Amino acid sequence: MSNSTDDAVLDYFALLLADDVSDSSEVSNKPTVTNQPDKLTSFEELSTSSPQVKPALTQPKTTARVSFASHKANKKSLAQLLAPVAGAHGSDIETQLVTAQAEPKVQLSTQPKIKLAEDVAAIATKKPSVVAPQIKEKLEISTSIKLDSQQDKDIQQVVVPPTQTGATPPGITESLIDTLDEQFQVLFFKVAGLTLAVPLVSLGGIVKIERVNHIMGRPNWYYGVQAHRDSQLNVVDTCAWVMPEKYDDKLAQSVNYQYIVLLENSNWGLACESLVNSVKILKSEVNWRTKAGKRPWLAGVVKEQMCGILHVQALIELLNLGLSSQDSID
Amino acid sequence: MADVRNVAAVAASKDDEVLQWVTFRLDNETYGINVMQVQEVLRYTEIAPVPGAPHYVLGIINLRGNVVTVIDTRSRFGLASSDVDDSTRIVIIEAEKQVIGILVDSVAEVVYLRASDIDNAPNVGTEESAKFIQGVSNRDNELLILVDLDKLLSDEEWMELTQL
Repeated sequence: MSNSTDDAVLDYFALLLADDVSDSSEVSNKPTVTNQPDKLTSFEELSTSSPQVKPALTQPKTTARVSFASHKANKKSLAQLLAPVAGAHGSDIETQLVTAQAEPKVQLSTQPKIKLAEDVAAIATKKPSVVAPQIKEKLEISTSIKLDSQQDKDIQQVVVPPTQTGATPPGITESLIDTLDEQFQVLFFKVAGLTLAVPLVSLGGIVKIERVNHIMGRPNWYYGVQAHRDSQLNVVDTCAWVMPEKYDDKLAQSVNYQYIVLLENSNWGLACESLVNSVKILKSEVNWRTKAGKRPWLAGVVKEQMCGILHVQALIELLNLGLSSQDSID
Repeated sequence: MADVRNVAAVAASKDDEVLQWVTFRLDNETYGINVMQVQEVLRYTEIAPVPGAPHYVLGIINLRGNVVTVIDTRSRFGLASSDVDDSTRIVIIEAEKQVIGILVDSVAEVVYLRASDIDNAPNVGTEESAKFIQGVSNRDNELLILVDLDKLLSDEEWMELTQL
């Protein structure tokens, strides 16, 4: 594949995934880490210089940051930083109360809770005997709430399947991930310069295109019907279905379909121009989709080849409903 | 025991009715229409356009003193128009108690099909023309698309034809 084609494919799938991510959660709208290495560094320094203060720092923010850290070293260091945070709560919180009074370093953080601790320190120096028990009680309440939310996040982290962003994949993708072995085979095929991958467990077969009958009144992505083993195969014009926005007359004329990739045991098949190869990949080599909604047929992106991997069951469901690639299954 | 088998075979054959279909070609696809609805097949003759006629009407022909409306089948099926040639035919049919002509690229043959050989057409279309298809059948590795002539036009359009 030429560099320009590589770039085009990379851009295309990046666009698809970016679109999905931008649709959804609040956390998704804050991909700050990759653009803010300074903050990461300061966080590391802070953590190493005063480890007892870690739980009081902005735990939710760091979780979100980890989700979008692209650099492996950063992710690793952040994971190391998060490990003790997730482990020890109670004792550290007590320590925090004490150190909050003793160490003004805590003021580095801008979080309200730390500000409270700062206030405590200020008040404690003036009237330690009267105010301290009340403030301690308040702090215990606030930290216990924080502990609850932290525990929720910990539970989520335990359940999370291996996605690059660390987020929970939607149920439909999760079911696909469950059905696949840790290492599984995929078939790569090409359509109009775009490479797509289909897990072999979801591959119904490959048929050479011979005589496709066009049927009136069908969507433009419906290529036609081809006889196959005493039944009719519904052939999808893959190019028209996957990238309708780019599909014009010029592209339609340039596409030269040669094979039909059959989807599981359905009567649907994707027309393709060429079959690339079949390789074994690891689950971790796929950037699995993390959000439900748009494009359920796109299970993720194979990182090395930078090509989309199909969720065949979702694809069949969409095709049976006569829906396009931009639709979601509700 | 043999009698029981014969009765079962007769019952099965009654269920599996054999129908005859006239096949014609349009844009490299083969279509079939029920032979009982076909009155005759004509060579192409001059079709007189009718001012103000609906877009799906090509015009009218004089068939032994009777005026017959000819439908633009290609347009109806969502296909691009093509030039008339030696194999172009006008098939005179009866549907919805009206006699009309349909212009086709060529007429092929009459085929016999068992009801069990007819499959449902893939149901993925929402366009109007999708409802014309009564079923599909695979013959000699080629798909025969069976057309329901009664649904070729909507009720309003059939009414409109009577007022031409």
